[in-house]
Amino acid sequence: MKENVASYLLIGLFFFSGFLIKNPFILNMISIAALTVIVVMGLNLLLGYAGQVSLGHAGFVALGAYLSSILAIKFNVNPWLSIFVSSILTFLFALIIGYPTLKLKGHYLAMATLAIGEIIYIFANNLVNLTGGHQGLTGMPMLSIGNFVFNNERKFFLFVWVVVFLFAFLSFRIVNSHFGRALKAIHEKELAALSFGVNVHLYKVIIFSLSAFYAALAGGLYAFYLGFISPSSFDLLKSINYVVMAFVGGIDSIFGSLIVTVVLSSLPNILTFLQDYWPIVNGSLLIVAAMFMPKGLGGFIRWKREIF
Amino acid sequence: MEKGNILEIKNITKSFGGIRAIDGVSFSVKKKQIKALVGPNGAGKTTLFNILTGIYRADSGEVIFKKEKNLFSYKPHRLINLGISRTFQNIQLVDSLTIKDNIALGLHSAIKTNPIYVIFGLSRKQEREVFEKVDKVSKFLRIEEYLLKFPNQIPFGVKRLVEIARALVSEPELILLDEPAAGLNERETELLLKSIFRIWERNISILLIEHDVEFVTSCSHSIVVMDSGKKIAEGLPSEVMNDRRVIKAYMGE
Amino acid sequence: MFVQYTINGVITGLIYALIALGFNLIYSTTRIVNFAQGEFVMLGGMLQFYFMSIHIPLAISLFLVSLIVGLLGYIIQFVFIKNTKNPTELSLIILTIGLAMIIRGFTMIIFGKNAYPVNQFLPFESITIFGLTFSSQYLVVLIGALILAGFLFYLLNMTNFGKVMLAVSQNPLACSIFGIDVEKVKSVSFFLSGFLGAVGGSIIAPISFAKYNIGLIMGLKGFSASVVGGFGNNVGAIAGGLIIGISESLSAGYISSSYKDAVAFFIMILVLFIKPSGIFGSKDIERV
Repeated sequence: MKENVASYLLIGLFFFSGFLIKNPFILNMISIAALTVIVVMGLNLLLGYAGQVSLGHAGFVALGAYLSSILAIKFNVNPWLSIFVSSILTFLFALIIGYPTLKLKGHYLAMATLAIGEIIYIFANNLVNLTGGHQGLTGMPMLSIGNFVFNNERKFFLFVWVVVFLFAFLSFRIVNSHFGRALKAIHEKELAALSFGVNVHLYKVIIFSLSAFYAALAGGLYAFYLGFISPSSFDLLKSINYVVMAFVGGIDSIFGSLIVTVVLSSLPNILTFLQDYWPIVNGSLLIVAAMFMPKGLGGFIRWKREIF
Repeated sequence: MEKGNILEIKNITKSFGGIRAIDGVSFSVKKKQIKALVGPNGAGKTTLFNILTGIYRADSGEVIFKKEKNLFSYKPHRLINLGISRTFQNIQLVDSLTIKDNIALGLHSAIKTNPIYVIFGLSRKQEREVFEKVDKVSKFLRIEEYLLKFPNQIPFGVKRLVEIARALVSEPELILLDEPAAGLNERETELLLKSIFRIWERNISILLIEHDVEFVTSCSHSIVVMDSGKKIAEGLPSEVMNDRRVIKAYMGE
Repeated sequence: MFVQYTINGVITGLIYALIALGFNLIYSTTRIVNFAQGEFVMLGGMLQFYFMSIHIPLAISLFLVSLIVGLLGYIIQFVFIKNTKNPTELSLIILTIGLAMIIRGFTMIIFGKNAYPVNQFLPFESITIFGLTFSSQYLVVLIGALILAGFLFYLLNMTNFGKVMLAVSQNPLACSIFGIDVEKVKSVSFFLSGFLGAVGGSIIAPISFAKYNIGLIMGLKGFSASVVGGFGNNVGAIAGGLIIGISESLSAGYISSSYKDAVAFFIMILVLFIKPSGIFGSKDIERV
């Protein structure tokens, strides 16, 4: 089977499970997982196709969440428009960060994004007038299309899986085009990519900014779904969790990350007694993956080729 | 530029720290010529090659390609658009891509791209044209049976040919071969020789750097010999190989 | 107040400098940026707290702390990094982050989430210079950091081991041909790096408290110091540490302490934008 077909089927399966699951707690949990899937898919593009890692993606999620909420609450901008605008702004912000940093070796992007994530976290905590500080921000209007309001867990659940599908579609289109081929070449044989006309630096910057866009859009949806955001949802550990999911799922495997993300983002809600042990679990997963399976779980699946 | 030349290398120098890796080297490649650059290890061949392909910047001198284009004013990733393409001595195939996709990478810059096209699948027609060319070039080099395999599934000699196919698929006017015979066995070398002649028959100029003198004398029209960063001889294979200085450089004192 | 803030800044800056030196030490022999570097500092503080709380004499506890954390560094290289199947830049970043998470996780489970106060090392509370009063621990940090830095410079520049390290950093392959045990040199540089971090963490603990979660941020500040001074340059590491420490302290004093942490990161990003090779620039960081 081709990877994109398998992924679409899996997403479809989740979508239809929304009609069967009655428990709002589970619907809510998997909706949040779906939003996480979007962030992780973006991170996969960066990890698997540019060979870089960001340790500040929670910061981009926060930018999407806070900017869109502030636009909607303080400036009465339409929620959809504010989510879109804040995602574009985050994209541009990442462009500015990525342009100088991606000229350097990989650990500079990792450290710079770690720093950016922390700076955003600090500002979210301290710009009390805008963000509500550590108390958080509330009062976002509900998302709606015409008279149809996403006012319960099931409606949002179904909607968010449609969004996941759209992002997966976008990812596969990129990955399976000549663009994706060039990105893989950049990741493995940068010199070859350069010699055959790939503008290595530009491609890296674009893919980094695109992954920030994924994160911001997920952040915007998160804010309007919950109607409440606070800095603690966007701290450093969140950024590292995203990296764990993307890396363990498989750096260039959208299918693998899809499964791993839903599992890893739901488990802490189920195994609550293990709460204090999650950093250790996550750390161990990273170590095992980095040492013994650099392509993650997705690396064990051999897909049929997409283009002929 | 002198008539009939496709590439002129003029007075190139390059130092690393205090060491002069290349010292005032000049020569030219004629249209439809197979030119070889030989020399013992450390002669500066690879450095010169890296200067030609824009990976290093020369301290002085210039490289003129075709109509008075100075190559130093182009970024490395633009050279392919001018009609210069290359292979790598240490194979640079992308392991996670099939041979087909690896060769298609050679046409990357031929695809006129923009993100909207990619998202809505509008570049698929161009992709199909790319793969038609890939098929053609792989038939030409007789490697079509390997197209759907991955680099780690094919013999070393074939990898060399895939490298050449990737360089050839964009139909360049000049192709730079970086030690194409290194690591090949006798049969593979013979196959490579034939391929090189068939490429030449298509009016493509070839500049190859090579360690193996025997291989070079059997395939090139003209040879440049370098030693310790300097050009020490240039001419027909038979002349150059009898040059006293060349023998000295290879055999030692 | 300015003098007071500056001196505060110098003291924390010295700790950042020690972390930055640790980064350099590991990077020069292994080309790895160790994301667990800050955890060494965190562990140094926590263990110091623990040993002092069970009344182990200062000299012995300091020795134990640096030995334990140094060994941990040794293990990181010898067990984890050495046995990584496909050690790319990316996988080693991921690996050291994983190790950082585990160190942090276990520390939290063993010691809990509290911030622990650590007693001053000297028998007297405070010292007075120019009419300004400082914690006596400032003296310990100042002298301790200078001794460590001096020891490191001596080791790298004057001893045979320093020459071996330099050789390994420039051409590991040639070294292994000439019979130098490259893996051992790498492991020793990890040991030294752990040692530096641990002593730094332990001597700063009486000033800043010991807490399980300060590792990544301390590491990032040390890295910022390193970037500002010029990554890989040891003189730069100290200069960078002082610059970061002082600007942090001044901005905490004159602007607001809530943005204190952001200052270090902001400076680093600014340097990456303007002159990524830092003040004492080494060219090594640029890609080919």
